[in-house]
Amino acid sequence: MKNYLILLLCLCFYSTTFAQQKPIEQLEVVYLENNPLRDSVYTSNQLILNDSILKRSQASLTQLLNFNSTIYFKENGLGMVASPSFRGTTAQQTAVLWNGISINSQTTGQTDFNTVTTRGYDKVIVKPGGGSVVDGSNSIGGSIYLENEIPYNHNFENNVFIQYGSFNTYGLHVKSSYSNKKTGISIGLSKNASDNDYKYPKTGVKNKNGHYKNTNISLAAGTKLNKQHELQWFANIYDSRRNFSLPNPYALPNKYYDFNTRSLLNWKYYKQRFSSSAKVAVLTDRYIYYPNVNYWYHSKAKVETYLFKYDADYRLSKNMLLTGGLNLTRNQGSGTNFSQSERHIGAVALGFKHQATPSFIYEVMLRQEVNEHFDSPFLYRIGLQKEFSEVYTLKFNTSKNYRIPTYNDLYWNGLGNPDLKPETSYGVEISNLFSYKNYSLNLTAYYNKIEDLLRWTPSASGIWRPENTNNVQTYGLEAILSLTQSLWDKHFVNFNATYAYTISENTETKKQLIYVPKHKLTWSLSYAYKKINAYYQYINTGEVFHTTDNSKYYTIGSYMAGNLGLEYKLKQQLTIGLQALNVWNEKYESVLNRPMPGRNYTIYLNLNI
Amino acid sequence: MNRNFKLLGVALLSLSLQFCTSDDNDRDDITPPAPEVEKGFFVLNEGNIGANNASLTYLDENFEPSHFFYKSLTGNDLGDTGQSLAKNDDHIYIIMNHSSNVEVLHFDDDAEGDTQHINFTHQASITENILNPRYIAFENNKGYITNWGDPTNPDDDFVAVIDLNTHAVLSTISVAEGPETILSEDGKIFVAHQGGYGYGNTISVIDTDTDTVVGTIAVGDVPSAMVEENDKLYVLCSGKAAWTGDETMAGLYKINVDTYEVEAQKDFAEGEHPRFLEEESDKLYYTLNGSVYETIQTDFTTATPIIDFATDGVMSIYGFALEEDQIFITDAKDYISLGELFIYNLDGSLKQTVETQLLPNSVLDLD
Repeated sequence: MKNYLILLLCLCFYSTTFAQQKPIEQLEVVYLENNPLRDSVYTSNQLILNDSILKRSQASLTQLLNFNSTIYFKENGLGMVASPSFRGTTAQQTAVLWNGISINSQTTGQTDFNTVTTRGYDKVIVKPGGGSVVDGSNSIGGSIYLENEIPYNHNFENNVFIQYGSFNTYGLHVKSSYSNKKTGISIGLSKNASDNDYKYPKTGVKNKNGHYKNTNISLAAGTKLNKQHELQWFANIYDSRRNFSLPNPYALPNKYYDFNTRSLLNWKYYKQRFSSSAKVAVLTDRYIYYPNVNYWYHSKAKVETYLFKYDADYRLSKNMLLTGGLNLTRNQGSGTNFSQSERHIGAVALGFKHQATPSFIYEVMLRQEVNEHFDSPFLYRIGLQKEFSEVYTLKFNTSKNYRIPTYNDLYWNGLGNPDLKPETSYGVEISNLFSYKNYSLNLTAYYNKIEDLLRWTPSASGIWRPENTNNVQTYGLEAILSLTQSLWDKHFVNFNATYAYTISENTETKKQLIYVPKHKLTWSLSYAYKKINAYYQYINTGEVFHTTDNSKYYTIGSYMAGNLGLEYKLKQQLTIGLQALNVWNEKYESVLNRPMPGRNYTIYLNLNI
Repeated sequence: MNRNFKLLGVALLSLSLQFCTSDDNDRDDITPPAPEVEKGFFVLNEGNIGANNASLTYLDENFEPSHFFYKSLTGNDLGDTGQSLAKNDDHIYIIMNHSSNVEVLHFDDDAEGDTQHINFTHQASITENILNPRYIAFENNKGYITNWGDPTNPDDDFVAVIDLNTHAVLSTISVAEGPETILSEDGKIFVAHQGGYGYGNTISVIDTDTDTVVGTIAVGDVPSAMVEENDKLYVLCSGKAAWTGDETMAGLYKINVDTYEVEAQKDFAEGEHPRFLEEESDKLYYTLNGSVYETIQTDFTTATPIIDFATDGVMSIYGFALEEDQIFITDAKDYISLGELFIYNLDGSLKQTVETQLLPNSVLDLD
């Protein structure tokens, strides 16, 4: 019984290129960006993954980020529940934001990265480091932004992307947009499905009951009423059914449905020194879980979120900016494991940015949250940037961040703990940016202290309840390298690499947290010549422990995997691509007893009209 | 131009990196050879559900552990979520819950000279007509295995009847929800319905000639443990815990195995939820709130705490056994680290502790 409860808890907690104008543009897939003063991010770092890299990666956010960022992923078999560890933090300590709105599950606190189809977004941004001042709860390890862009002045544009591969895996992605100078609309439809019945390398055991299918519909529309007013509308619907692959041949086959909707209205206003954005959003987040596909019994939960967000910028002078924000959130949830529960959270934020000299910028941001259940901490972020030369820039950040308890933590029938405190973290980081021509290197060192970690732990009599447990300290180094080079005018080479060294330890026992590798390396190399484009993506992840005492018997070995791709431009608008995934046929798993597939193939067509 | 070549060099170097990285870290590499077995004990380490990492630890007479005994012996993993261990004549039965298999080991004592060397061989895997098995009892040359079936379905629970010679399932007997502990006495099989996802409050009686349910005995909520002695059945009912929102009282019952009448009953105080039950000579032993209590079979109105295991560092009691005048308490810790076995003398003194593998839940005396 207790085992099943644990299992249930665990479960709950749950390409190609666009026809390029010139190859060099298509190669610029990863770059570091400094946003202008007006944007909320300035003194921190961002890794931007845009369209071409999205197309070349598999459709799930897990695969995209696993191969292109420092984030480590625990994936319960291909396409199954997947959760991140960002800078050595837990699955709930990464915030995922859709067009600026947090979409972490209210029931589990985390995002299942295999329920996010990257095809529905124009770009994905990875922002390491605590960002609760801007992104709210959960942004302790870092934040992931899923962004849709509203087209203006592009007339009609259509893109069709079809892919088919091993295990009867197919993807169909259509995006159409129309825009003129004042109004633009973009609609995307994405369908993915797979039998996912791969054989585990070496053992030859078949992945049973792993099939999945999902549909994502995205919309981004905007109209510029006049020079001062712009209205934006973003919407997204995600519908998925997965059968979770069986951990052993005699386990009961189960199935899991996700259904999420999001809608966001944004009114932007500009007037001389003042600009503002007022957002209203409605989100629904629903799941149904059948432990046995052949029986009616199921558990489910649904949480609706209503959100109002107001941000204003006022330019005090040419180089001073004052920002203010107000957030109001109402969550309303009900489900099998908790009765109807409602909570309200409010937040006020204030910020000041100052470009003191042409090469020195600092900013201070403060945020105070208010809610009826627990004391919300006062949060802050202080960042500075000093450009010492064209080649070298230094950034420094310190912040206090937090994560609120989830619906499961607070309201689980009989077991929820209403006395929980939020997790809080104090982080500091130093980044060194080197850039020269088309080469850039970012070296970051960070330290993060996390207090009152929220965990479900067994009591002496074997009853699991959520509690604020121990403290954790995480520290490490990150390196992000990007090189772009043209050779003899006709050959274009692009190389990107990320490396993370991560220590994440329980401050009491000094043991590494489970499922946090000390080393993770990714790199990708692409080469373009005339109509041909070849690329290789590589990942290498160090050993992880899966027991808290770091027992040598219970580790998951390090693994490497590589994907090889080849593209040929048949016509200006039509590209065909081939991929060999896990080309070295590596036997690997990121979660114990959940092997990933061996070598497999995908073919794709990309058409722009 | 020169720089271009450097770049290419970096790229090639990186490519070469990939050939020296794969680290196939299977437990096969660290599985020790099977030890020589004489007298001693088996400890079943349940492992984490879904992880296929259950294991068997052998302890010699001095409690020196040899881990991964089953893997050493057979070369195979035991399965997913070890539930219980039992011995009958020259066979050991290992009941695997989540992977729904029962592994049968055969052993023979070849007493040569002074040594009592025991040879083990793998005899059978029972997988047909088994679904979420829990415990086994033996009678009439047959084995009786309780099964939850689909745990969310209260109507498909059953007892599988095994031919102990062929290890084939002879029949299945449909029973009430949540059949858990099972024992034989007087030619009959008694099944305690602890409950699966729901909560049970009965004992089923099975006739081993006809393999049919011939009686039902009403007891308190959540009958979690049973022992028999001198034609009496002692049933410990833990009661429903407070978190269920419907807390009920725990009780200890003495039942006549012929008449099925409750001859004596002890009600525990409100909020008390005892677990586990063992008997020895004329006494009964159970655990409650971090202590082992002793009471006498003829009159269990009063009980005395004899072991305060919580103060010895037992974090999460997961198994309880009484063998050869010693009490074994297994500690699952936080469920995701190596467990520990605490061995006590009956006078309450701590004799020894032994590191086990993940979630130790059963101890079996090989003697």
